[in-house]
Amino acid sequence: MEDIEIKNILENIKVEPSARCWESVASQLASSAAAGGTAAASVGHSMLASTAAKVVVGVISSAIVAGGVILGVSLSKSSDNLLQAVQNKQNIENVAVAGDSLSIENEEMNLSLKEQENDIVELENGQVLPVNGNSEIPAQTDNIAETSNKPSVNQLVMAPKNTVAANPSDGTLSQTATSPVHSSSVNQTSSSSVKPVSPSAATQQIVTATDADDPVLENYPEIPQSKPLVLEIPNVFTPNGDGFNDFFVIEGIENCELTKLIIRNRGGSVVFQSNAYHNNWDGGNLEAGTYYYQFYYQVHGIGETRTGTLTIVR
Amino acid sequence: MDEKKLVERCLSNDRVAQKELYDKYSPLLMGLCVRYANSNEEAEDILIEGFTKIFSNLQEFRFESSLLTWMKRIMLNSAISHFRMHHKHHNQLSLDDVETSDWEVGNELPSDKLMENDLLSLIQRMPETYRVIFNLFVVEGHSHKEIGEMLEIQESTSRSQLTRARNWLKDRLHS
Repeated sequence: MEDIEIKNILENIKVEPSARCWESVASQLASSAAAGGTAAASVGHSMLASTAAKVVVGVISSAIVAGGVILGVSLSKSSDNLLQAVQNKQNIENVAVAGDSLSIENEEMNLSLKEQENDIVELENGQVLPVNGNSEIPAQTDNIAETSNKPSVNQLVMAPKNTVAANPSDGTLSQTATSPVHSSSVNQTSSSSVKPVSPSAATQQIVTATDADDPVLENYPEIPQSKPLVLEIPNVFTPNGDGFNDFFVIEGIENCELTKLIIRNRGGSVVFQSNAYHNNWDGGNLEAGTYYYQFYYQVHGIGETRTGTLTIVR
Repeated sequence: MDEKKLVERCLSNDRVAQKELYDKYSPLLMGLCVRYANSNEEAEDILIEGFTKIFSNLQEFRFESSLLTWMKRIMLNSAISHFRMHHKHHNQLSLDDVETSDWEVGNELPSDKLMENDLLSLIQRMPETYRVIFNLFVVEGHSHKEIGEMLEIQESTSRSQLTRARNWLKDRLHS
């Protein structure tokens, strides 16, 4: 079969998209029309910022469900609700940006939860409950942590609400949650670190959380931004002994618990490998040119991989 | 020209006109999406993204090319960005891995001709990288150099992947 035949057939194939496609396009058209075709508010707009803080819980849930790469798609699917959240004043691009920043906050939050590992008690059923560092029942929690198969799990679950919360000193979540709305948000967060929440539940959460008339939510504390892990991997270095850029230096590597670096040439062969990299590779005897790096690292028990090209200039 | 009028009406945010434009071109553009996506769901996501871009950039359209060509280009960009998003967290060398798609065998797509159906279903079952490169080269008519730039891969990779894609297809067309 010739290329031209294949081209002619494939090029003219028609497939009827399902109804959800137009609905989705139309709702986005409606939102941008509401924005008057212009960006009515910048991303840093205070209203958006405060709304963002309120919807973050819901977004976390959907982010957990979506996971990794699909995250963007999932967020865009929730854009209808996000649009409602910003009361139709932002155009779609703004919302997309808002989604990005929210997902970053989510990562940070997971990290900050992880940072409090000492305060997290693992229960038999795999649930993880972050416990307030100032909790009045430290002995009890220790006990449970050690003998996690004991039925006293119930006891902990029934413990006063203020013990089942993220550490307030980091300001990640309010701890003195007594109202139903607050406690459900907090529970949502603690459980989301271990079990997926259905997308519809997540969506529901967004709608609930954005109710501006809710006096409780009005006082909901804004979630401060903690510093994310910054890992800068250069794409070029110059091992020529002049004292500048002589080593392949990954900035931020000192914050990683485990590191593994693999350098490959363009043919895919491994030319350098280190299972505990300390920014000390000078390119060896490799010729100038383009290579590929794979950098595995672990932060707070979570493994990540970064890959990219690396040019050696001599 | 009818088309020019339609575009102008769309620009004035006439929802009826926008729907008309969508109805007129979405089956053909969806035909493009299903050639690039890993699943029907993803194809629809690409279509939605593409149409959103088409409508928000319609004022940029200068009638220098045909409307369809312009819309296809936007849709193709949407498809490529989906593909690249998949591969962002992968090693670039994983292009050599054989990744299978989620299209079900014998996927029922409405089509008049049997041949169309067979060929499309084969293309959809191609490993993702083969499929994207095959489509870009054979159907969309891009050069290996252009494909390399679009997908951020080496020109030689594009060449070798196309050869493999052809062999992959040949094996199945004659069996």
